[in-house]
Amino acid sequence: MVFSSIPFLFVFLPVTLLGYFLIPGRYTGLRNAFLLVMNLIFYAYGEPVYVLLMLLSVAVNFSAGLLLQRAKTRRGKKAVLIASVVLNLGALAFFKYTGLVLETLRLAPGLSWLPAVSVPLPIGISFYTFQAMSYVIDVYREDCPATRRFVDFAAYISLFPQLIAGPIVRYSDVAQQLQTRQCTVSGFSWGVKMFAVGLAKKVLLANQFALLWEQVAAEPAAYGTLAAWCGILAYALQIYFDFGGYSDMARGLGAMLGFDFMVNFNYPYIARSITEFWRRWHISLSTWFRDYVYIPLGGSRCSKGKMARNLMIVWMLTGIWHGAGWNFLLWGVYYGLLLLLEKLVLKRFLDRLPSAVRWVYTIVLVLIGWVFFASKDFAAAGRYLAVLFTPVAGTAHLWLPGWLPLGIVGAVAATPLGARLWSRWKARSAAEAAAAVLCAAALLLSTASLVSGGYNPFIYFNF
Amino acid sequence: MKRWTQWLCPAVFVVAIFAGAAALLFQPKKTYSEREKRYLAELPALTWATLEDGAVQTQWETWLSDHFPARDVFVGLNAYEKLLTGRNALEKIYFARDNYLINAPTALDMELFTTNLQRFDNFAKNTGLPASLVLVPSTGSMKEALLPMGHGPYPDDQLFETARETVTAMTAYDLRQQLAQADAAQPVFYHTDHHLTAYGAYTLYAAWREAQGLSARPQSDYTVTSYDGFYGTTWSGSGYFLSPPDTVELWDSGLTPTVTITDGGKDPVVSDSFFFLDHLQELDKYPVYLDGNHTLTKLENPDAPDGTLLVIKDSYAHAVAPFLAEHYSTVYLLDLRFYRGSVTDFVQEQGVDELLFLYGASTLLTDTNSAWLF
Repeated sequence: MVFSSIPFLFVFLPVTLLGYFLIPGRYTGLRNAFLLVMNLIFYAYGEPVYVLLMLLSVAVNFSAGLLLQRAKTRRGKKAVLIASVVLNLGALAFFKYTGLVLETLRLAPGLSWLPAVSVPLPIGISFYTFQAMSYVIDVYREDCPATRRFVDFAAYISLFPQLIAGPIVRYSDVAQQLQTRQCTVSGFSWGVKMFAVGLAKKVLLANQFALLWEQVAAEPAAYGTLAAWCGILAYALQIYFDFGGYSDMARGLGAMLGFDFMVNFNYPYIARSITEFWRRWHISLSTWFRDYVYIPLGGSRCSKGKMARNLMIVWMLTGIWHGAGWNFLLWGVYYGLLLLLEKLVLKRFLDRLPSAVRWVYTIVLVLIGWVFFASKDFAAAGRYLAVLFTPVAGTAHLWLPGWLPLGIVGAVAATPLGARLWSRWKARSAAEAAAAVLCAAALLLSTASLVSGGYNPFIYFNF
Repeated sequence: MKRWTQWLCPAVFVVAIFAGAAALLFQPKKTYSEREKRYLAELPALTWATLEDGAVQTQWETWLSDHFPARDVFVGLNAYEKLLTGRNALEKIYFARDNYLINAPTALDMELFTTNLQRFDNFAKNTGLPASLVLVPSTGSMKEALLPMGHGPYPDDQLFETARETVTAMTAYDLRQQLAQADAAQPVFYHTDHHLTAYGAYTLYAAWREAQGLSARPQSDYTVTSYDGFYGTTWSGSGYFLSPPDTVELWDSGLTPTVTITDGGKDPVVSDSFFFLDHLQELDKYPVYLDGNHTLTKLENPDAPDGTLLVIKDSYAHAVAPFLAEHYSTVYLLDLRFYRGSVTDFVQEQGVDELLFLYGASTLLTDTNSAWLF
């Protein structure tokens, strides 16, 4: 079930909120139990079978936590940790990469007899596996104590707001909130605003930009260079509003339920270097890799050679995390190299350049990155890049103006302008009334789009 | 900061989602959507197999969407939102000036178009009968000045040119100029539908007759009755539900025909009028002409001077056929979308004297049913 759908908005959410708030706030355990039930319904709606896999993951990692707590020796602890990491990554690798690995092996001489297997990918497995691993590793490192409350833990792993598209919430960040949390009117009100903003981003912007991107991506050469640039810009806006909008909705829903989730996107397209872009894009994933892979490998506090190795490892993993395809690996390598280049060479020069030039440098590289990300294979990426960088005439100038108003809205919505205006005005008495009107408009228009059979593909289901 | 205004956003949100939920639960359900001309989804039966493969979820979502409260209002809201944010020229139906709602150009498939014409032409050649090809242009190609900036290109010039070049065993008529001239006086196309108005159909008929050097019944012979409130297919499809309706006209020369409608496996329906007035109660009143789409429709007028005309056609012919019945003692309308017998046999058995292929030009870019013409 996706948030931007009629079943979620008008069936699942009302039932969940009603049940949740009928339970008095002081019974947090009961509320968690209720949430767990709703989480499982939410997940089973999309994955009636794989819901068992998720419960298995919950059980394994919950037990790993308890075993770590009990283990007396360092070796014992390490064994538990390794076992749980192997199980977690094994399941992830099996479900996510079996098809890709077999498909690639089949290309090798003498191996064409291998079966072409496609294992259906369980929704959200990349997200909940990483959450579960963060818990076990934190307990191992003694950053947080193991929990004995199975229901709380299961509710945390399966928490529906961030179950299928993040943010990747660490156990240590919400451990306290799982025991006691306050639901306030102002918190709920903030959550509603956040949710409405995210819903509008997803339905009114991302879904629409998807149409432009798909149109151009089908035949870039026929549409020409101008259309190709607009197409990849549209994709950049689509994926940001899709994923960012989903994160906003997750944070908003969390806030309604009394949780506080981390910011996952911080206006990535205003970044003035690739390094800064990755501090602003999918923050919960980059910090996960930083804390659980990069720093344990030695991070930057080692020789330049080692640092380069560490960086490339992290970025190859980041790439392949996004999907089982070599294009994602290429995309990861691309960013690994760019970040390395910035760290070692470019930083000194970049700092001296005017901010506008740094922004153009960043956005062009990010757009090229999206070409790798969005293309099914290397050949398609090559064809698209060729149209981008060798002038091809087309008919785009005739129909592109139709996209201009939405493009402007999208560009402005990708900057912090709205948030800044809100923080300046929110103290005024009319601000809440204006916000309520805007929320109503966002809900109405999004519902209108959904009811109209609005185009509603959800990109991040595949990751 | 404890102010009552902080309740506003939660109130709006909670009222909205609970009102939607309550309406979905308690509102009486319609079974048929007239605007879409289809039955609405029914609640699926829940079984483990359909739950596991997601069929139940999909059907239930369709059900929720089909029965959503004030669904038409939301569909309209969405259409106008796109219109007001500049996306008119990107939609499948354009919001044109003068209240015209006009289909965007059909995707160009010249191979199919040419194949269709060649099949028609071969058929005409094999029967050896005099044959005409009359194509109705798309509204968009005739009304370009009214279309929004950035609209797609209409291929009608190319289509008419190709038609002229492709057919050899029949005469291809290009009556666009006559239609354009007539349109200056009165609309030949509906505003909310893709078909020809009765006046447009008369113009087409008269122009075709004149192009053959034959006379047409003068316009002044007809008594015209008008009915308001015709909301056609571009109106339903666009979501621009505030656009005003068309008027549908019934042109009566005093001729009393015998109309026999035959669909496969059903008893023939016989009527003494070209006009099926029941359809005037509906939003889409175009089926008032000959009751809309059928496999085979026979129009008999024993007083007419000429023999038997077979019209192989799509729905554009429905408004034209009553005029043709003035001249032919029998007019057959045959729809290849439904007719599954040998048309060659039909021609022989019924003693057909003349053939007319009457189609909307853009129909032939997508319709593959000419394969049934044998």
